[in-house]
Amino acid sequence: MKLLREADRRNWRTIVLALAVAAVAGTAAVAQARFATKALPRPEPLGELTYYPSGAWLSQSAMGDATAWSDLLWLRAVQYYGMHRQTDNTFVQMAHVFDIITSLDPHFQSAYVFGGTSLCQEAHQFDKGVLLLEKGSRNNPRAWIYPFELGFVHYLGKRNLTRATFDFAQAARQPDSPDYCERFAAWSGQRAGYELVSFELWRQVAETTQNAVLRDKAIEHMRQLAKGTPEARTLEIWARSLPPLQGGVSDKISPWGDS
Amino acid sequence: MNAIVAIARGTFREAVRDRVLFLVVGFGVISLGLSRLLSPIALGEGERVTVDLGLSALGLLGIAIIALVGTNLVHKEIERRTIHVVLSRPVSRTSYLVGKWAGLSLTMAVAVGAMGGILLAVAVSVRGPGAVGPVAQAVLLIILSNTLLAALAVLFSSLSTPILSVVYTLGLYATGYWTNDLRDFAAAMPGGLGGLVRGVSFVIPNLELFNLRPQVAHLQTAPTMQLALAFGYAAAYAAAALALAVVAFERRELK
Repeated sequence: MKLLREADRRNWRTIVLALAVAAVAGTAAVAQARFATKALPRPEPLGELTYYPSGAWLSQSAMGDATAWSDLLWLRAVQYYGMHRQTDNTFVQMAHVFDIITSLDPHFQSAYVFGGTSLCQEAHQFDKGVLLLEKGSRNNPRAWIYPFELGFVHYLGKRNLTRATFDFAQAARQPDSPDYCERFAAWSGQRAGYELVSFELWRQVAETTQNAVLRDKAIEHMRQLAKGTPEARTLEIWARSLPPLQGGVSDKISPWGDS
Repeated sequence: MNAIVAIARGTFREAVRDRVLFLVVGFGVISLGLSRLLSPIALGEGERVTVDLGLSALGLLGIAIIALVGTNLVHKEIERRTIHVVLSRPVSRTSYLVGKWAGLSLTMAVAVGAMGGILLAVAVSVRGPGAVGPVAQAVLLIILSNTLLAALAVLFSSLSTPILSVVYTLGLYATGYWTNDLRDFAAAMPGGLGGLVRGVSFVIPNLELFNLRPQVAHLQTAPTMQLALAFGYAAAYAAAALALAVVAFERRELK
């Protein structure tokens, strides 16, 4: 009996000692992980993808999970965008990465639209942005959104009204295209006031997107266009009336801004 | 200490005799060969792809050894009742578990180290002597991260069945590379949930700390601070996991 009690006591002593070791070592591990997070440079999101020659190559290795991979890469791409938007505003890997995402999933609308417009505007890689949107159009020939976005970037980025008119008209011809495609085709074709049409294009984006980053961007452009005009005040009231979306530039670039 | 060394040696011998280990090492050799075969279609990036895919194969080799050999360690001895023979000698349960972990880590380190040596030779031949430092560091950190995962495998092995242990270990291995992303997601989540996710991100092993593959792709070495932190972190995390394994194992009824 005494021997059993002694064994039991030893057992408990070991357990208490082990728990103490677990607590101390666990705290040390968490402290080091926290320190590493602060002290070491963050790995560049998407850095690991830079050496993949193309999305086609990657889709062969995805073994049936290409769309799941494209989702994961999309999350990383949004992070990449957010990180560079808040720091150096250079987007060296973006075209390559969005090409990979859209090769893995050729129907990934958000990737084409967000990638294409961001490349044309923030990244100042107009040709690559147009290539991405044209790829979307090629892979989804009945979708109105790609010719519409092509018209959008040609109108705003290059003031190429002839090309924009053609693209808006193309968008208007697709099934399920909204009325405003035709409206923009007409305005663009009639060479209506550039500021007015630009303002309307951005308003359309702000009202229709589910992507908080895109909406913030659209409102910012509208503010610039309305600066010093009586519409500036109305614009702020209108912006506040929009239904809230999660994330956005104003409350940190968020990986949850997907549409 | 003698008991720990004896059990580690026994575990190493037993693992080396296991056919699973040969399968895993065979898979590793084939992966290394395949990564070399892929280089002609990599459009000028063949050397980089060879080394990087080789390192990925090493990482997979390590985790495969731990998942297939490690998670079965304690359970197999309980099933065969050979554990009673061991524990009837002057060997404490703590020594038994630490010995098992040391033996498993040694098995993994020898297999990964040997494959790492082959990869190093391939890397030097395709990328020149500048590859020695980065590749050697990357192999060392793969071994370190796997010793941490081996401690987790021993913890799960002493708590649960082999299949569940494999699932838990592989689950932590997969999420371990997402700890930075988890913290970013936590920052975008509302208050309480964000705090919880952030907390979880520090409990999950931070395997990104051991990942030097992006640096190796550019033939860069890791900063000394990262190496020191990786050593310290692996030691502390493995100690915590083993201590919890001891708590679970001390309380376990062995029939």
